[in-house]
Amino acid sequence: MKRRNLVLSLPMLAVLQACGGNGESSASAGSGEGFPSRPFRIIVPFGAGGLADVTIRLAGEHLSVATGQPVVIENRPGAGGVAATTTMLSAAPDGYTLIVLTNGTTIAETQFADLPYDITADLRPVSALAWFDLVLMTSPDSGVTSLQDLLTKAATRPGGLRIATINPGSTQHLSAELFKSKAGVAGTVISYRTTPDVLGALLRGEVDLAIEAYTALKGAIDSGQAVPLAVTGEARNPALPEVPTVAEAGVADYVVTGWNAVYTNAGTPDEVVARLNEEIAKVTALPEIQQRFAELGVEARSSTPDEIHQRLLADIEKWRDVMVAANLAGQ
Amino acid sequence: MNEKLLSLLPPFALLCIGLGSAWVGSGYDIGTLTAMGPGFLPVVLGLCLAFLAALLLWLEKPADVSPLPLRPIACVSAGIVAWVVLADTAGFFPAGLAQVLLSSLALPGQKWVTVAIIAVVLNAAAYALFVMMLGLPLPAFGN
Amino acid sequence: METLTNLALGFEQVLTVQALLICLLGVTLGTFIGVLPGIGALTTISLCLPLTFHLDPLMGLIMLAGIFYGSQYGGSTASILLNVPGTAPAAVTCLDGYPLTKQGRAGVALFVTTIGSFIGGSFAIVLLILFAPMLANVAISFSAADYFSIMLLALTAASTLGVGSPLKGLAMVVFGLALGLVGTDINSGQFRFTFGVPALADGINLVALAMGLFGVAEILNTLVTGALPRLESTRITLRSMLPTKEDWQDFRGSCARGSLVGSFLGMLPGTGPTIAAFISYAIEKKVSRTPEKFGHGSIAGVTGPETANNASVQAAFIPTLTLGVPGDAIMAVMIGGLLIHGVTPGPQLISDNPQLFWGVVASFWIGNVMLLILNLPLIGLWVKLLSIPYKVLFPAILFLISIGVYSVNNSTFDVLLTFGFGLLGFWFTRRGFPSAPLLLGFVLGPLIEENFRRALLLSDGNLATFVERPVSLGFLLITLALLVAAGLSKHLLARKNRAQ
Repeated sequence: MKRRNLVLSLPMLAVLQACGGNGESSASAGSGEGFPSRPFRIIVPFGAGGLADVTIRLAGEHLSVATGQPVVIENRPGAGGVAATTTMLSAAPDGYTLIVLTNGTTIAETQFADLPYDITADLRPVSALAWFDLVLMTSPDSGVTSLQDLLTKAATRPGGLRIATINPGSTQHLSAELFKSKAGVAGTVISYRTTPDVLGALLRGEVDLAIEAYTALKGAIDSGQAVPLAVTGEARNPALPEVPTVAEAGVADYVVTGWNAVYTNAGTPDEVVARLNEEIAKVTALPEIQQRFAELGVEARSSTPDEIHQRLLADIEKWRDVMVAANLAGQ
Repeated sequence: MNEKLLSLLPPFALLCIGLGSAWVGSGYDIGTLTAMGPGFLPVVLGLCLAFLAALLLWLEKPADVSPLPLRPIACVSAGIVAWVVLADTAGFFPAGLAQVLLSSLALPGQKWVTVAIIAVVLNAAAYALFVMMLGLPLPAFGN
Repeated sequence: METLTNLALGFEQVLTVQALLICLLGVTLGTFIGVLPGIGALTTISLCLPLTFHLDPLMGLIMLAGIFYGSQYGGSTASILLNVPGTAPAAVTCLDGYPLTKQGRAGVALFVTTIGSFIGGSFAIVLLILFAPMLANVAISFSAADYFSIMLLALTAASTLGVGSPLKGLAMVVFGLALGLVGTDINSGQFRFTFGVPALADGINLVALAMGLFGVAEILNTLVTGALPRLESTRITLRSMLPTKEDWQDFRGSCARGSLVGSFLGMLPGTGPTIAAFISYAIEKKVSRTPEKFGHGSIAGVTGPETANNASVQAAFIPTLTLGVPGDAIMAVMIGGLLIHGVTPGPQLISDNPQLFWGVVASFWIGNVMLLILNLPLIGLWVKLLSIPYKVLFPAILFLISIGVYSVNNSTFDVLLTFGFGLLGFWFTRRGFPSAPLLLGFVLGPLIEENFRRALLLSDGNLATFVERPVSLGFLLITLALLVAAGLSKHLLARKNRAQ
């Protein structure tokens, strides 16, 4: 399920260099002399076509233009990103091999009892790349129009609230567990194998609520198959300006924001990391990236290495608590 | 005698797998029929398998097994193991060449020039298709 | 009338040099990777996806779809000729395809699978054109209880799959069900039988299992018994490829049933071509007047499953394109490809993007015709493969299995697993334990467990849910009828024997 390909083909690169439009010459004056001088390789711990994959491909294309080096995306899906991280760690610490970490990485830390590495020490943060929230949605046939309605209705049913999410241990699943505890409502999280299965459950009306990333069910929301009740971010989603945040809808202290970030090997020199961070910051600020990401329901935003690392550490703690409470931890 | 026992190996293996599954499964949450835990089916299926295997062991008459030629099995095994070890450490070509050459040893009377030519051509073609065209992340040589 | 206008719009999109070339590229690549053991459509489409990012969305989809259905044409080739399945669904084709080759009828077998594939694919395309939105809504309305009952029927029907001792067949089904448990339990998140190996957390790889049990095991068996296939590679005349009158009779019925079964299962999200092929085989054996021929070279045992798996992959586009609910993992990857172009599949796709929808549908026709034209002349070439001495052929096949299985997950662990299952399949088959029931149990087991437990979660633990839903009740009754019929026929047989 993985492959490696040149996001920017070599002939295209030659054209770019002939035009003098590459970043190599302009940047060599700064720190990280001579970097980059060969192709980048970015490892994605998911299969092709997913959110993390699509965003890094879009960004990779621009990173390639900015640095004048091809960017090769390599998908290494598999449980908890173990295969991807192992591949990353076998590369030289020179900043040419990068890995995409996500919210899911922080869950895997608790989910897998003994990982053969320590991501907090063996990897070095470069920058955040994309941020996204999840959407709480219900079916149009339910007659429910607000989160409060839904909670009131759930309280009267013996089994409580039924929430559909994708597989156990996913951000969506843990967000549902967290929602139950923050909203103080009884209920069951029902796991489905794929996002389309979750949508199917909603269309059949067999669940009261589904929690999924906006991108994944954009089509369903736009066409009215699913009714968004709230978004999980700190602020409203620009693509759904009418939809309140969970906090605005009356459940305090509930925020879930997913993120994708770029990491590299722990031994990578400071100036190389600084240069990479600078390039990613430039790429995420590009109007085209801002717009394409927004179409996907994602916010393109970089960060300092330290910022994203603090976030990673905080999320490891956050999800560990949720998993311990939901009896999902350490197998 | 040993060979007769060897012929009972499949049902015996199934018996062990069944009991093992039930035993390991009993360590997971079992639950009830209407609220199954992850351990329910491992235990139920394990016991079913063990029962069927026991029945088969009882019914199966130990048959004479003519001694197996070990050479083909050993060579095919060596070929696959060599591929696995070398693909991770030495790259696409060492792994592929080693596998083709080693498994060729399974049959006597190989013409080694032919085998070598085939090994090289096959590897080159597979490299072009899998690595160059489809972008499989395996380096030609090295790790 | 409107349909015709729409189709005309579709053909307008794809009757261009670029579209035709891209379609040809897709189906040719598909056929080819279908023939090669291990590497299949999912791997190839994931690998090719990035190439389509720079194409127009319609062109990208035409190419990826072509790889998908093209691989179903190629998958059976090696099953028939060498007993080494090219793809997981083609493992079913080994059961009767290889015996046909041993009888010197490889050409006929390849001919009927190609024609059957074309008919199955075309049938599902007609359904897609005429009834897509309606069928998609029916398919999506099937809930967990319904799935459970359908899969239970499938398991019951297919319990007759093997040749020889029914008890051994049953033990292998249960063994397969148990192997299906390995990995993360979808209902609770518990890791089962992973023994701390992260590679097992996603379960045992189906491709590794199928290639081991059928491919590696078959090669070991041939080498050990020394019964090297020495098939006369006589001239392949058109006559030697053409089915006899009896073959045609078998062919007609099995083709019709395969198209129906495949289309139905293809539309249901979550069931793919492997299940369709197995169920079709079971049905053919049940309705056949010569069930004893199954496993020894029955034409219906080849055409049924092959028609079904092609119908199934084509029908999988019905919920994908009309509801944005992909029928399987491959469809999900294709949707990812559309997303990157800013096209969101969903109910509004047909109205918002009629060129895309009807263009893809039109390309299916063109692609299937291309595959027919491509594959018929190839039959002669494939049969010639058999004239290559086995001592040259088998190391090549083993090597291609290694690299093919590796390509699925970039995992050498999977290759080792293939080898382990190869040894197991080799030894078990020698002792009369058939491999096909194991594979069937493995494919159906997780679906049965998952849907049983989900149905009970949804009904708050009420078992009545399985008989309250009409679809579920219907399938349960058929299952019951099948069991009663089997018991009755055994009883009658026993009485007849006593009377004699």
